[in-house]
Parts: sequence; structure tokens; C-alpha cells
Amino acid sequence: MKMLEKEVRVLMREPMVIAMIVLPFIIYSSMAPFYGGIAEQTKEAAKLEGVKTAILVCDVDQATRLLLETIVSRQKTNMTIHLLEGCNATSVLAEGYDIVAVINGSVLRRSFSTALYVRGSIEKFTKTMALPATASAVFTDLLARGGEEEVNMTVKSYVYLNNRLYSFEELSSIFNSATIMIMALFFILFPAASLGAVLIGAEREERMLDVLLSLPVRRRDIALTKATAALIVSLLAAASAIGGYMVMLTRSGLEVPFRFYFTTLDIVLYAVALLSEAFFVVILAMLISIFTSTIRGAQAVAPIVAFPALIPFFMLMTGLPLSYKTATIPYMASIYSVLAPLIGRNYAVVSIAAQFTEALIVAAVFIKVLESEIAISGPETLKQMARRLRRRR
Amino acid sequence: MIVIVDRVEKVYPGGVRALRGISFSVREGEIFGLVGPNGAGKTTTFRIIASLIKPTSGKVIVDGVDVVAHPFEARKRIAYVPEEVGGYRRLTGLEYLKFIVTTFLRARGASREEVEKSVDEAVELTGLPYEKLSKTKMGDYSKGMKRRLQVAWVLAVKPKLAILDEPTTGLDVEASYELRHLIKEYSKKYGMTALISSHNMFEVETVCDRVALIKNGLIIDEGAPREIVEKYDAVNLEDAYMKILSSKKTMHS
Repeated sequence: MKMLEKEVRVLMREPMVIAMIVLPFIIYSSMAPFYGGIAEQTKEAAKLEGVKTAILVCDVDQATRLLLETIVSRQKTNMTIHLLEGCNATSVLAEGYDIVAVINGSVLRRSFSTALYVRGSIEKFTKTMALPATASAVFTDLLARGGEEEVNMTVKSYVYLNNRLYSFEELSSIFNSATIMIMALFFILFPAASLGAVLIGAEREERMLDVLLSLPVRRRDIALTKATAALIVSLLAAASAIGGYMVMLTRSGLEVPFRFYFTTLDIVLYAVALLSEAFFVVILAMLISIFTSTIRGAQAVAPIVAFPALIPFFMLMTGLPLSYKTATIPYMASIYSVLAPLIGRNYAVVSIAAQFTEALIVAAVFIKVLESEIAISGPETLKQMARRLRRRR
Repeated sequence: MIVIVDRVEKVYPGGVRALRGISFSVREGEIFGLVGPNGAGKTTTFRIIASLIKPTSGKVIVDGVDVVAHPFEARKRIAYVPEEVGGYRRLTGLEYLKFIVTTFLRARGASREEVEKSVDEAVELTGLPYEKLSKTKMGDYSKGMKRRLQVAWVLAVKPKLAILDEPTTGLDVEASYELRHLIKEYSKKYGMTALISSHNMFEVETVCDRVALIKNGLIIDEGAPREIVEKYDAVNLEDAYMKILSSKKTMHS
């Protein structure tokens, strides 16, 4: 039996690991009834307060122009709305407006078509995604109230992001797909960290670390085999979780349109990013768990190394500063790769390269630790360090 | 000499001096016993020879290989069974044997057939029913059964040097007897050198060709069991050991 086979068998016979693979599918797929409510709440997230809006008067008759002037003067929304002459929405957005509404049609024909242009920003991505829907609802309402009779209205939304104009459907497809991809990251990172740590903790708890390290196996092979086993099993866990999540979405009536926005190259880039991050997390978890003496202790390591992966996700919601510098920070590879269709692939490539380098540095440290006495006396070393610290205090 | 331990000192990071410059050598095919009280430095010595930890100073050569400078090469020649009996609780005994024997022998360039033959041999050496070995996970094995598995793989791979730290601990009388005989038999038949530690003086006297008495990280005497017994005018090795310890105490006082 080869080492990889042994490691995978050890993991796959652990009840906790079986639960890790089976439970996510059951839990996520049964969460569909609750998801509808959450989706409604997220729609409310965007607020129009302080939003600077321009209505472009372009190709409308006099009666319609008068109607629009009335709407602007009487509107009671918390937006600032200006009526401007012109048809070029993107140039108006460049002047500092958040939303530009280009209204065509005629009040006499009782028919309008409105094109809403939203100035998007990666730094405020959540708002970018929420504004078109909210603004669309507000404009529909305003125009409907302005007319005395029922009017026929069509509203189409666009987002101007990174010097490119996206239809809102296109952008939301990217956003939804990216959300699934970001979730996939967590579905794989947490099991990977946990399993990597467990593989080291189990060796010590089962009194086999001495025997393993005395065998003629290179420390590099021990580290890589254990990392590979943890990654294989965590991929199974991730597949189960993503499967369950997809079932939940489809049962909630939501579709996840990957469509053509993510090209094959983007998906490959993302997979490599995911792998680089998972590899980094597994090795880091194994390195820290060398100081634990039990499986339970090792499991506690998993959140420590996996939780920082949430930081880029929160950063995306509150403001992700796009730069090559931030791209080199650990845990950034996946976020930059899911944003690749929007911001280009350069950031993702830099981020993945940095993440792999960081993973290799941690792996080199881990291999050094395995070669040293710390591998044998890990928990004792930690106790000694704590004692020394206490003495110094 | 297949094992040369030359003025080995070991000071642990906490400042504990586990070994204070011990030296001994072991001939090929010899069974060498390391005897001493708890904390004397037996396990530290074994771990240094097995290249698990590094000495603070001194040299250890196994089959012509410096274990500190070339640990990987040294490990191909050494099979080590630690004092604490362990085993993968989620693997069956058979899977455990397959894993360890394959890992050890493949590193030495053994063929698939040779590996399979050694696994079969290890299975036989355990003395356990095949059904138990192939179906029951090690988590359900007794300490004694795990110990038998460990010694079985070490003998089956026929290393240049077998390091057995208290190999019969946890075994019943019958199993201990069988194991002692197996170690002797394999040493003679295959020229396997063995380093053994034990608290059981009878075991050391029966199995070992030579012994070293270790205390506080120092070797206080060394020789064939019979020579030591005669030297101290003792009834047996245990008696000699007690006499040595008491004479050392008198010297110190």
C-alpha cells in the first residue's frame, strides 16, 4: 500500500470526514425554503440616499419634456435628480453622476423606454449590483405617477464598470457565478485545512509519528502526500457542498448563469487559484498542527488558517483596492480570479503566482520542521515556549 | 562494527542533559542491550541512532553511514519500534503491515514480489489469525497485538539494524517468550543486528550478546551478560545491575 492510498483510507474511514462529505449536500439542498427570504432582503440592501442622478432628455416631444420637468421638480425620493440635455450617457457618468436615465418615447403614445446607466465600481461592488434594480423600480414608479393614464414602459439597465459597458443581466450573471465560485472556495478551504491538520494530529495521537519519521521516506514526500490526500478528500466534500447549494438555488427558482462570461480560460484560472489557496491552507494547517498532540487539538487549527479567506470576500463587499500589491497578499488569488472577466486576467495571474510562492515557502518551512526535532517534540516545544514567555513576564 | 556511537551528548532545548558523552559500538549480527532506569537516556540514544533527533555533539555511524549527515540513507538500514506502542486506528493490521513494509522496502529498491513476500512473512510473524488482521481495525487491537505487529514488520523487512525499545512491554509471558526467540532466530539467520532496551533483566540476559548499563546519560558498564555477572560476583544480571548501581551511589556519596 502506498502512502497516498494509506492517507486517503485513513481519512475516508473517519466518521467526521464522512459527515463532512455527506452532510453539506443534505443541509444545503434542504435550505431552499429559507433562501427566498434572504434573496428578498438583499434586494433591499441598496439605498438611493445621496445618489446623484441625471435624466437625459433625448429624442422626446414637448409634452414628454414637460412631464419629465414636472417629475423632477416634484419627486420626493432621496436622490438628487437633474434634467440634462443630451443622449451620451457615459460622458455624463464621467462627470460624476451615479445614475443616468435616458428616456425615450412619448407621453402622447403612452409608451416609454428607459435606459438606466449606473456608474459601477469594484470597490463598491455590492452597491453596483443592487443599484440598477432599485433605481429601475423608482423610475418606473415616477413615470407611472406622472401620467394620468396607464403607460407602457420598458426599462433596461446597464453598468459602466472599468471603462466597459455591461448590461445588468450580463453583470449579474458574472456576479452570481462569481458568488458560487467564492463559495466553492470556502467549501474546499475549510475541509482541506481540517483534514490536513487531522492527518498530522492523528499521527501523534496514534503514536505513529516516530515510526513514520523513522521510515526511509523523504520529509518532502510526507508533506506532499498528506497535503494531496487532504486535497482529494476536501474536493469530494466541496463537490457535495456545491451540489447541495446548486440544488438549493434551483429549488428556490434561482438560476446560476455561468454562460459565456467565464471563458474556459477563466475557469481554468479560477481552478488553479483555488488549488493554490487550498494548498497554502493545507500546508499551513499541517505546520501549525505539528504543535498539537491530539486530533481534536489539530482540528482547532482549521478555523485559524481558513477564516482569513473570508477577509477578501468582505473586502469585496466594502471596498477591494485593486492593485498588484494587494494581489500578492495570501488568500487573494481566488477573488482576483473570479473578478478576471471584469478587471482582466493580469491581477489573477500575479495573485496565483504569489499564492503558490507563499504556499511553497510554508511547505519549505514545514519540511524543515519535519526534519527537525520539533516534529518529535512539537507540543512539548510549545509548552516550553509558553513557560519561557511566562518567566519573561 | 555496524553501529558506532562516539561521545554522543544531547542537551534538550529546555537545558536537560539527556546524554553526557556516551560511546559504544555494536558488531554485525549482534544483539545489544541498553539497560537502565527510567530517564537514563535509552530512548534518547535510540532516537538519535534512528535519526529522529540530532545529538548536540558526537557521532553516530550505522553501516558506514553518518546518521546526522545522511539521515535518509541511514533510515534505509534502520527499522525502529518506539517504546510507546501505536497503530493507525482506522487501518486493519494487514493494511498497516502492507503500508510499512512497502514504504520501507520500496525505498531500498525491492521489487513488488519481494514486498509481497515480506508482507506475508510479517503476517505470519504476528502469530495473529489472518481474519483478525484483515478485518479488524487496529483501534480494536490490544497493546500486545499492536506490539506484535510492530516487531513483525521490523523482522520481516530484515533491516541492517533493528532498534526495539522495550519490545515485549505489554505482552503476556507466552508472547514475550516467542518474540525473544524470534529476535534471536532472525539475528542469527539473517545477520540482523538489534539494539534492544528493556527493564526486564531476564530478557536482556537471555536475548542480548552484550549489554551496556546506562544511568544519567552515562554508560557505567558494558560487556557480555555473563562477563558482567562474573565481574560483580552476582547471581544474575539483575543482581549485578543492583550491585553496580549501589557501588556508583557509594562512589558518589
